[in-house]
Amino acid sequence: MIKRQLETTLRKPSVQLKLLVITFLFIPSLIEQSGIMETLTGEIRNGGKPTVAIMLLYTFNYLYFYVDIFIVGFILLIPDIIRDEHIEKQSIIMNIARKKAAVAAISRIVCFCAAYVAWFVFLTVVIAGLWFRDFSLEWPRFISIIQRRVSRQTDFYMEFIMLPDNCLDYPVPIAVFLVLLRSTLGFIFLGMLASLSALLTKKIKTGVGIVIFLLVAALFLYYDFDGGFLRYFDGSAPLLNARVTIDLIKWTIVPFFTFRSMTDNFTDWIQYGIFMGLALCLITGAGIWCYYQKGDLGDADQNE
Amino acid sequence: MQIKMNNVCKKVKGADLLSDISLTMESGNIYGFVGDNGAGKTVLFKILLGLMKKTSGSITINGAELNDLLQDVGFVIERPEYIPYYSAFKNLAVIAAYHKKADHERIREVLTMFGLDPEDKKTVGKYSLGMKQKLALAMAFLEDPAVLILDEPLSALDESSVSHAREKILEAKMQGKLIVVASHYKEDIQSLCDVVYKMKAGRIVAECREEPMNAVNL
Amino acid sequence: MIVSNSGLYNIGLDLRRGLTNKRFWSTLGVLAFVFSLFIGLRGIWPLTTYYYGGDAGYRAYVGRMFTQKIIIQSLIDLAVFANYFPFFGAVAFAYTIVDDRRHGYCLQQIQRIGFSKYYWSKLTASGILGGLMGTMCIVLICLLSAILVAWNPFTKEAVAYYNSWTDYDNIIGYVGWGYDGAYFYVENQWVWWMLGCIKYFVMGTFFGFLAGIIAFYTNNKVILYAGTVIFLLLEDKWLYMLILFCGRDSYISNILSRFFQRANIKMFGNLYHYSLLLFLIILLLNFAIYIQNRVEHFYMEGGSMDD
Repeated sequence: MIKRQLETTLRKPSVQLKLLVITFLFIPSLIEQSGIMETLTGEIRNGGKPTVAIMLLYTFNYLYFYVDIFIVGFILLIPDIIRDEHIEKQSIIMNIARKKAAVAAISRIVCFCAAYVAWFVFLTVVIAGLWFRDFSLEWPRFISIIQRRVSRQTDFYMEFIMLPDNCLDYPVPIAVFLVLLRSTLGFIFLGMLASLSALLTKKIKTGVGIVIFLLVAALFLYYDFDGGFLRYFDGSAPLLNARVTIDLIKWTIVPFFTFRSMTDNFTDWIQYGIFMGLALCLITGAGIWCYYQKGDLGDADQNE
Repeated sequence: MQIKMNNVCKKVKGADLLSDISLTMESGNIYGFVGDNGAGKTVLFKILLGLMKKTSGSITINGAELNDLLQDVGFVIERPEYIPYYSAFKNLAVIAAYHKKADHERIREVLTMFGLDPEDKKTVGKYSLGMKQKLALAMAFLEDPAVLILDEPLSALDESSVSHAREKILEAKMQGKLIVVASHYKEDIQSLCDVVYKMKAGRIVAECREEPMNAVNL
Repeated sequence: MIVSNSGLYNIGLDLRRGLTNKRFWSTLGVLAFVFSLFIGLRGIWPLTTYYYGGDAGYRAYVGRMFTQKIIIQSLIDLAVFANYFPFFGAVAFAYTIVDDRRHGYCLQQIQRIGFSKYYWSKLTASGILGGLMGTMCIVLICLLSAILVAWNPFTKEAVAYYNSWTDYDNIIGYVGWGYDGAYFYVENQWVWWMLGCIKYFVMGTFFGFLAGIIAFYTNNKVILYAGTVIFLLLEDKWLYMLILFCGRDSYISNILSRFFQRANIKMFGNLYHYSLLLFLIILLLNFAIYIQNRVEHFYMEGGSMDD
C-alpha cells in the first residue's frame, strides 16, 4: 500500500513540478560546490582529490544546502507528504482500524522522507561521479591535513568542508551512513511534526508554518547570532572574563543536519543528532498515534 | 446486521453537534435522515463511520461495541472524493487495491452500473459535477459492502440518472444491505426510505415509519 | 476622471481591497515584529562586548550600526532577510487570486468586467501592494528595532555610550549608484532613505507581480509563497552557471556577477539591481501575456494544475 501511495502522490502534476523545481535548483548549486571543492583541495599540496563519498559528506553537512534547497523543497511538499489529499476519508476507512490507519500515516511520512533524501543522494552521486570520477571509499589526504589545521585553532573555526574532529576514526562508508541517517531522521521529525500540527489544528498551513518557523530560527541563530551562542557579561566579574555562554544551536534543527564548526566532536554531534532525531520522531509518532486513536479524522482543510 | 446507537452525543468546543441520538437500524432497510443545513446529519454519519469520535453514548454492531472504524462499508460523505489526474477506472483501482475484494471486472461493472464508461481515459478532474457524483456512488458500491452510508447521493444527477440510482439503491436493499441516506428531496425520501428521521440542531425530533412514506408529514 | 469598469478603476478596487484587508496589516505587523526581534537579539552581543570590554574593531562598528539609527544596515545584513525578502512581496495580495478561484468568487468578478481586466488588475494590484508591503515593512522594522535596541535592558547602557560618539562617517549616506563603481554620497538622511525605499518598493513590486503570475498559473498557495523565494535562488544559481559558461575571468562574467539578487538586496541602492529588476519585470510582463490564454482556459473551463 505504501508503494501505491508513493506512486499516486508522485504522479500528481503539482508534486512533479515541485520536485522538478527543487532539482533544477540543486543541480547548479552542486556543480558550483564541486567546482569550489576542486579548487580549494587543489591548493592543498599532495592532498589528493575529492571523491564521490566526500561530496556526499560535504553536501549533507552543508547547512546552506538545507536552508536553500532541501528544507525549502520539503516545505513545498509537506501538504502532499502528510496526507493523501484527494481520497483521505476513503484511505482511512480502507485501513479498517484506527491503529492501522495511524501506522499507515506514519509509514507514509517515513517512506516519503527516506525517498526524498535518497533522490538527492542519487543526484549527488551522479553529478559528483561525472565531475570527480573517483568512487574510492578511502579518506583523501586533504581531510587529515584540514583536521590538523583545525586542531591548532582554539575557538570557533570554519573550513571549506564541514567534517569535524575525529571523523577520520570512522571508515568512509560508516561516516556517510551516519550522516545520511541523521539527515533522514531530521526530515522524518519535521514531517511528523508538521503532520501532528495539521491534525491538531485541522489546518495544513499550521504544519507548514511550524517547519518554516524552525527553519528561520535555525538560520538566524546559525548565521546572524554569533554562531548560536548567547553570551553576556556579568557586570561584577573582571573584564574580558565575564562571559556566560549558552549554546542555543543544539536547541534548533541544526544538529539534525550539520555541525556547528570544525572544532566540534564528530561522534558527539552525530550521536546527539541521531538520538535526538530518534527520540523526537518517537515522540511525534506517538502523538500521531494517540491522535488517530482518540481524535476526529478526515477533517483536514483543503484550503492550503 | 443490527446497528444500535444509544444516547450518542458529540460536543466540540462546548457546542453540541449531536445530542442524545438513540436509534436502531437493521439490514434490509433504508433509513433516511432529513433536516436543515447544519442539523447534524453529516456529523452523525462520520461518527457512524468511526471517522469522528463520539463524546458519550455507545454504538453497537450486532451487540459488539464499535470503538474503531466501521468495516465493510461504502460511503459518500460531504463532497465526492477522487484523484483528479486519474481516470475513473484508475480511481476505483486504487481503492480496490486495499482489500483486493474487487477485481477489474467488478470495477467495470460498477462504472457501467452508474452510467460511466470504464474505457474512458479522460481524467476525473475534467468531469462535470454529476459525473463525479456517479463516480462517488460507484466507489461506494464497489466492494459490495454490507452497509451503505450515502449523504445526498443523488444531488447534481440528471433525471434519468436519479431514477437509475434509486433503482440500484433499492436493489441493494433487496440484497439485505443496511442503507443510510440523507437527502433534501422529498421524492428521494418517499421513494427509498422505510424509516425517516428528522434532525434539528443535533437531535432527532421526529420519526416516520409510514408505508407508503409520506414525506410531507416531516 | 476614472471611468468605472475601466482598467484603472478595477486596479483601484483591488488596491482598496488589499489595503482594507486586515490580513495585510496583520502580516505587516507580524513580519515587522519578528525582524525587529531578530535585530534586537543580534545587537546584544556586539553592543555589550565592546562596552564591557573585549574584541574591538568589527564589534565596535557593528555596535555603532545598531545605535546610530541606521538599523537598516543591520537589517539588510541579516541572512534571513536576504533569503526571504521575496516572501514580503508574495504575501501582500496574491493569495486572493487563489482564494477567489477556490471559492468561485472570481467568476462573479469576471462576469462583470471580463477576464482580461480581471487578470491584469489582479496582477498589477499584487505588484503594487507587494512593493508597499516591502517598503513599509522595512521602515517599520527600523523604527521598531530602534526602540527595541534603545530600551533593551541588556544594551541600554551601551547604546547611551555609543550615542555619545559624534563620528558619523562611513555609516550613513553611502548609496551606490552608477556602473563601474561610480558611487556618490548622499548627505541628506531623508534623500538617502527615499532612494533606498524606492529600490525596495521596486523589488517588492517585482516579487508581488511574480507571485500573482504563480498564483494564476498554479492555483496553489504553498507554491505561491515559496515560489518567489525559489525564483530568487534559481535565478542566482543559474546566473552563476552562466558565469561559469562564459568563463570566470571574462568581461561579461564580471558584469554578470554584479547582478546576483541576494548580494544586491544587501545594498541600499544599486543601479545594477535596478537594471536587473527592470529586465525581469519586462520578461514577466511578456510571460504574463503569453500565459493569459491558458490561464483563461483554466478559469473558464474549470481546469486546474492537477489535470
